[in-house]
Amino acid sequence: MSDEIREQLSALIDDELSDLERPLLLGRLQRDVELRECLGRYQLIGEVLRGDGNIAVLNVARRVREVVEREAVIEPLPGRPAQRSARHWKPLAGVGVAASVALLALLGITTLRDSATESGPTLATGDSVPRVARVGGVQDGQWERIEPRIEERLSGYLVNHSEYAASRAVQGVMPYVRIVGFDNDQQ
Amino acid sequence: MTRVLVPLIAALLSAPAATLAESDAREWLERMSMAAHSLNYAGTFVYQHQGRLEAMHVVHAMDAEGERERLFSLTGPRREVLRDNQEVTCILGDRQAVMVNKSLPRTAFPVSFPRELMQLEQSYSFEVLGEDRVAGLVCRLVEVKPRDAFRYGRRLCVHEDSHLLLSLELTNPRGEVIERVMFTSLEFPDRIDPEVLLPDLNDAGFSFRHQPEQQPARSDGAINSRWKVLRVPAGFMLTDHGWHQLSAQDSGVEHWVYSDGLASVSVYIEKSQQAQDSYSGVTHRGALNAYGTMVSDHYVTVVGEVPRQTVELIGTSVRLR
Repeated sequence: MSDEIREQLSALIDDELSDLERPLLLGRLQRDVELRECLGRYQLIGEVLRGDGNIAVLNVARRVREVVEREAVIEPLPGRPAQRSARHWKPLAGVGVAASVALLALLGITTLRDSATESGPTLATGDSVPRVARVGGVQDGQWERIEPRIEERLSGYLVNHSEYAASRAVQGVMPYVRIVGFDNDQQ
Repeated sequence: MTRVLVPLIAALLSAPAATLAESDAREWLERMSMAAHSLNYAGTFVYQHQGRLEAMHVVHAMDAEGERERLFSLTGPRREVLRDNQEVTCILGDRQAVMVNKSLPRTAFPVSFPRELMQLEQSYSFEVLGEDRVAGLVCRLVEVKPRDAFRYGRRLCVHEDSHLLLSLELTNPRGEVIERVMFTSLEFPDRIDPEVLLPDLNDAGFSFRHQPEQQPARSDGAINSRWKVLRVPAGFMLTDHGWHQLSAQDSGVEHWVYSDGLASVSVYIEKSQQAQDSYSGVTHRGALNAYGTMVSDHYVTVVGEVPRQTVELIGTSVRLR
């Protein structure tokens, strides 16, 4: 990795990267695992040095770091090499997670939003119950088995939708109750 | 002449009474909506759905640092949701996954625009029923009845003193309760210890998934999309439209949000990752229904706290322009 890239990473973390360089570097970050890990380490070092961590995502990162630090100071018991190995791996895994958190905070640039206040291209229907065509290959309209890839997609949508629902709901936290109150076995 | 006048006078006399009763109920909901954001509270509640019962704890703080909230499970898998003015973090302990979302500003109820208020009244009727007791606290029962089968009914009990929501039931078009949330204990501390708003995360090795912040792209409210949604039930209006990138791999998800003032429905449109992919069906989580289908090599998914027929109606009407 060149010194130039390192300088750009550092500038990105300090929010000093130019508007021209930023999208190029973010695009490269999405493709380059090694670069992401490096960014994570830089960000982690920066956070620790600054003692940052006010927002929720950084609180999570802080907790992970605390786990990492706690695990890192545990000395392996003498004469038990298997445990030594495990102890050495865990902090590294933890750093990986913290690095991911750091990266996540930087990927929030690629979405667009229309602030829609008009009803748009929709037609309202009457209040009669509609006749809905059944989807081929689906018994009684149910997903017979929700495959992991569909489950993952639905979970992402559900979390995303919950915030929109909660932002307008009279009952506040209710949309999130469905996320906290369900496990995989129930679906 | 008399035949015309008598019903007219009767209608004029009865109309203000009905309006008063409705506005009284809406006033309770307005106070409740404000209380949910402005109070410090901590309590345990139960969530009943599909014959199951789960217990959860919620802590809500509103102080100089803004609004913060933490909701976590006391039974079953370890899950929690943390929310502040910037981020929503969902920690799913059973899946070793963390999802981070940008938080949105809360809209006060009822929506203040007369047009939206009119839509709300077209969709629901409101009534104050009387008193009840939940978690040892006296509360006022408010019933919200849908005027058609495209949305759920709600029966709420609002604390007389604080106006916090103490219990909520969602009912299907047959009047059966499909979800119930009810506090079993609740307190209103003057100050919430910041420590209790932090996640209880003790495990490394979680995978993180970030749903990035959205940037406003247009200020004229126009919709720039190759897609159109042909049918939504009367009373639902488009309240949001935009694009997300839910992961570094996906090419972007188009998102339409409809609301009738109480219930919200999201339509997600995403390019299929493989040719001839199969993706169709319905599923639900309590009162939340999801419908999926493929349209022109795109996954179309409709998600909302509305009956199944509503997500199906909307989902089957999504077309390319």
